[in-house]
Order: sequence, then structure tokens, then C-alpha cells
Amino acid sequence: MMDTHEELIRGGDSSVILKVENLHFRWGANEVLKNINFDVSGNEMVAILGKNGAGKTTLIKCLNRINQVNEGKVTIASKDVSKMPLLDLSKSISYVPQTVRTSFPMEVFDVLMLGRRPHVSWRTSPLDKDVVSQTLRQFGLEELAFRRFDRLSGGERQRVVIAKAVVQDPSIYLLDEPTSDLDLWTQLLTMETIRNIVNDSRSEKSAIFAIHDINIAARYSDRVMLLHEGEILADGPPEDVITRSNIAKVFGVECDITQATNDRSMNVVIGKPITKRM
Amino acid sequence: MDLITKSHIEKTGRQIRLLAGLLFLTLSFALFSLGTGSSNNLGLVPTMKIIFGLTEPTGLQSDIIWRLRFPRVLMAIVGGVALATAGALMQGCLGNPLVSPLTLGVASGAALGAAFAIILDFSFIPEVAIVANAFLFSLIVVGVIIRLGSMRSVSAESYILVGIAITFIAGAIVSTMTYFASDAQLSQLTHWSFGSLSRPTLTDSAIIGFLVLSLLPMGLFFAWDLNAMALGGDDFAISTGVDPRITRRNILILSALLTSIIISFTGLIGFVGLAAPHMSRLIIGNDYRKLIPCSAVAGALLMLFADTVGRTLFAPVVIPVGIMLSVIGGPIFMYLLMKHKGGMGV
Repeated sequence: MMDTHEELIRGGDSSVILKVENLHFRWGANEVLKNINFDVSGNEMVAILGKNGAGKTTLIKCLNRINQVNEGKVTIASKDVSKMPLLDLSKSISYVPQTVRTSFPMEVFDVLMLGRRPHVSWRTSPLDKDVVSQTLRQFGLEELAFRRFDRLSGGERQRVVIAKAVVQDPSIYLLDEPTSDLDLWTQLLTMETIRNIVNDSRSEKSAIFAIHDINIAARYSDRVMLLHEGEILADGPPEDVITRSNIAKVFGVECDITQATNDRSMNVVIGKPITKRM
Repeated sequence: MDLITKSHIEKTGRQIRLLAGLLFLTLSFALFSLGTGSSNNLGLVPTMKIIFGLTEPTGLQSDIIWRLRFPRVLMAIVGGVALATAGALMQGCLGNPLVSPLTLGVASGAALGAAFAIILDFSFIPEVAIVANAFLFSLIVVGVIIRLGSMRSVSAESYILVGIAITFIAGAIVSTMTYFASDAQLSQLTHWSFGSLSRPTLTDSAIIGFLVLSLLPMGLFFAWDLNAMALGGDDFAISTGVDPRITRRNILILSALLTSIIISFTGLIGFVGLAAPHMSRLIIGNDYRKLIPCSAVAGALLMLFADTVGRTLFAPVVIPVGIMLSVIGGPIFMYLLMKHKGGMGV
């Protein structure tokens, strides 16, 4: 079921969809993000790596206006995000938070239906319902369709929220640790599903995901951005960014790296922590 | 068609039939209520014959039905619809199951206005002093809500806390005023606070009905936004295309208006706005697209039921609906909560 890294990564010269220029973000006096610049192209999948508090979540939330940036500009398809009506923005970007804690007893089918909200006026058509049904199958969630969301396990909820983001049919997916609550098999299934959506050459979709698992980042991304103390320390193909020295600098651990070959993706074996974290 | 889609459509169909059934029950009960009262020669059967044009009513019968009972029944329906809708909207947008239309302080504003009219004899429109004062003072509270909503960092809790503060302030002023009030004024103020459907005339009920009816579709319009906010909080709502801050403010203004329109005419009625939405959750689930209409109908039924019992239990003495709602609705509400424990989200 798993493709090799080489097959997964299409590579291509798609046009730039998302552009971030000189972005600064502060919580009070604390400068969380400093002068962030990067582009994301269509059919591109970008992983954001960094230790706790490096600013991964903050950066993701700056891209879809959950956080109001203090300086700099985010544009989607040349449109300034801060000036777009929220409903239009939600047609271009969907966001999957780290966790959705709720006591709201809504059925899974209706949770996914929320993804149609930007596309319908009030009534939903059988067509919208079919989109929901197909996405449920795509993520192996058909058994849960009429179960209550608040009674699902953490992993099930996470998949439901990702599926809702897919129902929203945006051009950019923002995923904050999309596999944090998932078991091994489901992690791969979920990342594979997203990878396939991004790869689909009929559309120019892209995904940005914050993640702790370096191997997942290496296997599923075209590009890795290493965020360190609010700045981008490195940005490039996984094999250039995920290096012994970078991992040591950012995470303070030793590691052994086996580069990707034709039939297996890059592999990082984590070793001992280096005395004190920097 | 996809099988999952098919079962969802079937489910929606069942819910709509359920809602239609509840609506039919409410309208039937309204007819029953029209035929119930302390007048001996105007029971259920004669009333139905008159309403459906089978017998010619005497002048007195016509007066009893159309000038006494009908405005009251209409007011029960309209009041129940408005307060229950306001309750459902507010519980949703504040993410709090304890919220009722009285929480925002609109009712306390109205009570303060009524006290000004009754005790100080102060009013902007002397002909309809109490109603006008109650409405205008509650609009001041609506103004506070609008002001609060325009602040950048306002949270759901801020609205509740400010509402509680307003309740305390208004309550303190009313209490102070009662020190200077005569016995007759005190009794009038107490009666006002009971919440009664006997005050509005036919014209009043018709005007209120029209106002409520024109505001209701806006409530339904917010249903999607409420679903998004209730499910995943503000961040999740933003990524679904909903601005939680603006939506919350607009919903609260709408709820506050619905509440003040009713309460200015009837006095304090709160319980229906708390209970009807929760009962509806048990009947039809939590999707606000269905919950809002269901709450509206359930509110009307609850109010009609309470008022009809209040009119007949100790006839010819009429117990005000505000009291009956708590006496009858309270135990039903508690029973439902205990039977379905754990099923109460907002």
C-alpha cells in the first residue's frame, strides 16, 4: 500500500499559491515569529519541524487569520489574506487544529457537513451529502457516520476533523500535528490520503503540516522547514534540512540518517540526548 | 445514491416529520386552549363550532373568544416561540447550557424600567408607561451588549459576567426604590414581575407576533455558524468561514431584542427560554438547523400548556404563566435531565 518516497514526490514547476513575506508575530513583548519568508507552490507538501514553543502552531494560525500578524503579509493566489472576507478565505484554506475538545453531541456526518458551509447558502443538496459520504469512505470512517463526535476516541476525532477539512475542498491544507493521536497504521493511511490529494494533478492543492515525527516529515513532504526560536533555520528538500547537525542544534539529540533509496524513504534513527538542550 | 447519504436523508426526513408532528400538536392544543376557560357555557365543543363557523356566536361569546382568549393564546405562542428561540441561540453562541434569555440582563433592564414607571411615575410615553419603559430600558442593555461586542478581546464569558453585573445593579436600584414605594405600587411591581399573558390586547399580540415573525428567520440564518462555534470553538469556526466575534455579537443582539419585545409586555418569564431548548435537544438532536425551529415550537407548546393549566386549575382565579411555567415545567425538565444524563451539550 505504501509508495516509495521517489514515487510519492512528483516534483514539478507549479505556480506559487501561498506567499509569506516578512511576517512578524508578537504576544505582548514576546516576539514569537521573526521575519518569516517562504512560498508554497501547488501540489507541494511542506513539513514544519521544530521543538515545543518554536512557533509552529503560531505560524500556521497566522496563515489563515486566526492570529492577526503584526507585520508582514500573507497572500493566497496573490490576494492579501488580511483583506479577504472570511468566507472566501475558508474556501481557499482549511485548518485542522491539534485537538478539538468538545462536549457538543453532533453526529460525525454533520461535522463533515460543516466543511460544506463555505460552499452552500443554507440548504445542502444530495450532492453535498455525497461529497461527505465519499470522504467518510476515503478515510475509512463510514462505520462512524452516525456516531456522536463527542464520544469518539482522540484518534477518531482527529481523522474526522481532517476529513472535514477535505470536505471543505480548499487549495491549501493547514494541519497541526495531524497524526499526534493516531496509531501507526492510521498515521500512514491519513498521510497517504493527504499526499494523494496534494499529488492529484487535476488540481493544484498544497499542504502545510506541523509535525514532531521526523520520519513522517521526511517520507511525506517535498520540503521541510525547520523552525527554531521563531525563525526559519533551514528550508529545503528533506535530505538537505534533516541533517545530523540540524537535528542536534534544534532538538538536542544525536541521530543516524539513512538517505532515501529507490525502494525506501529516508530513515532517521534517534540516538541519545546531547546533555543539555540548547 | 450513496448508502450513507441515503440513511442521512432518511434520518432528516424522520426529524422533519417529528417537527411537523410537534407543530400539529401545538396548534391542536392552541384550539383546545381557546375552548377552555371559566365561562360555563363556552366549553370546547361550542367554541370549536364558533371558530369553524358552524354556529353564530352571541356578542358575549364572540367577545370572550376573540377579545379575551385569543390574544392570550396568541401571546402564549408568540412569547414561547421568541423566548425559546432566544434561549437556544444564546446557549449556542455562549457555549453554555445554563444560559437563558434572562442572563444578558435585558430582563433586569426591563424590570428597572417598569419600576421607574410604577414607583416614580416616570415615563417617556405616559399612555403605555410600563410597557414603553420596560422596552426602552431593556434597549439600554442591548446597547451595552453592542458596545461590548465591538471590543476586540471580548469572550463568551464577558457577556455572561456583564449580564450578571447588570442584573445586580438594576436589582439594587429597584430594591432602593421599593423603600419609597406605597403598598399599592409594591403590589403592582410584584405582579409585573410574575410574568402574565393577561396584559396584551389583541392589537398588542398582533404587533408582537409580527415583530417576532420577522426576526425569526435571522435566527435560522445563524444555525450553521452556531454549529461550527459549538463544535470546535473559535479557531475551528474561523477556519470554517465564521467570524465568532461578530457572529456572537449579532446573535446576542437578536436574542436580546426578541426577549425585550416579549418581556416588556408580559413581565418576567424566563424558564421557557432555558427549558425548551434543552427539551428540544432530546427530541431532535443538536444540529441548530433543526434545533432552532424545534425549540420555537416546544417553547410555544410549553407556554400554552402552562398558561392553560394556570387558567383552569383554580378557576376563576388565574395563576400567572411565569409561576405555572416553573411549577409544571421545572419537574418535567428535571425528570428529562435525569433520564438522559450526559446528553446535554450546547
